[in-house]
Amino acid sequence: MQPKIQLSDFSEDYLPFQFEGFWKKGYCFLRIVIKDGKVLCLCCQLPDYTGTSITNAVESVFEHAVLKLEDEKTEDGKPVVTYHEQFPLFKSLLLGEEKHKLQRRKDLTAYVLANLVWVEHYPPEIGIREAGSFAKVIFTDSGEPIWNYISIDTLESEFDEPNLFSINYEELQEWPTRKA
Amino acid sequence: MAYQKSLIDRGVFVKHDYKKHQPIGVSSTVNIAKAILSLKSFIEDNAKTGLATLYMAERDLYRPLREHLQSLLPVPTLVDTEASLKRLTNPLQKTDISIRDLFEVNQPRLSNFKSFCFIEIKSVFFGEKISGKAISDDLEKLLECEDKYGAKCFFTLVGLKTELKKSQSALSLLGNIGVDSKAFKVVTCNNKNAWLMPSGSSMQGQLQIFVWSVSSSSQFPKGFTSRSYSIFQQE
Repeated sequence: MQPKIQLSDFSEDYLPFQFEGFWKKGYCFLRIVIKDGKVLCLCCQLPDYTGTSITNAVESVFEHAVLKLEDEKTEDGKPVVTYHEQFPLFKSLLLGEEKHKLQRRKDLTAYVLANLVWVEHYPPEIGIREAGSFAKVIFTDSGEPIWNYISIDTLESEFDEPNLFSINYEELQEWPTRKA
Repeated sequence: MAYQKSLIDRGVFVKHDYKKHQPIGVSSTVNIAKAILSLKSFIEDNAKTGLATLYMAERDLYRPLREHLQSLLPVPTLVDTEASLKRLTNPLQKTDISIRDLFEVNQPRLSNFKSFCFIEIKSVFFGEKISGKAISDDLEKLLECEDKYGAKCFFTLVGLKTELKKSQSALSLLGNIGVDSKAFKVVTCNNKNAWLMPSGSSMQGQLQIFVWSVSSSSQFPKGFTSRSYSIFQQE
């Protein structure tokens, strides 16, 4: 019996967002916006950053985004993720607390993947394209990331929200001081 | 298999008293589908350098892509352009880009080499025409490459937005271009079934690039767009 997962509306910018890089901790800018159960993640490469890129570590950034959601609360103080599960206490006793938590995380990951729009952004002059880039990254059923580069105009036209993809590039420069 | 096994056997590494191989290596993954998308920068840069037009003949696309792949792979000499496909039913057929297996690196470049990746490219620039038959032939070639070489196969379409729109009927074999995100089945002109998995695209501006993984199977397991290498240090 799968628990029914419900995501409350939520919006948060993380600067910097920490993830597991290949050799050491990695950092990026991450915006998570949840509306009507749909999840938008805008992941942006930071300036003057030499760690594992958001492209190479896309799976890791996604995993850490899901972990972050588990603990996040809405403005009213309610958890962002609600599990509508039958007999949760019994399940926890049966499986053990740790295993039950892992099972929930797996279910949450699957739910988020099914409702996810992942946007990878390199600001101008960061990365290989001078003008910067926006790519929608799709995770296939096998978990393979697929990059689809599109223009910001096309991307914005797919969403109703204004300023969804606006980032204060000057603020991004402050990420090393905010790290601590 | 015995040769591969000998390569990763640590017992072999340590028995050489004059050399020491670190047991901890470095692993790196090259995403081939994503690397193909780099063609966009090459074509756009080429347009800036004088021609002032987004045009490159199809065969002129091979060299920049080869050079880009060479920069990503552990051994640059593994990438070939227009290599003959001796294992196919028609051995006179050639493939646009192929990447030989790492085990081939010290072998003489025989015609019957083993490749793990084949890339076919079709382009549609100003006034150029493309036929459904040409796409179908490429897909069939890739299906046979997958069968005979056990390789990962990619079909790439490069072109201008307006020209691609004009060629819509010829491109119908490629599904709903830029919209599909799941694998879909197509039937080629010779009634062969091919599964196409959209594996990358670049749709900013006039110049557009689309990459599909091509297989006779509907299953595209983890890693179908990439190749991983491990490197050990020798002291």
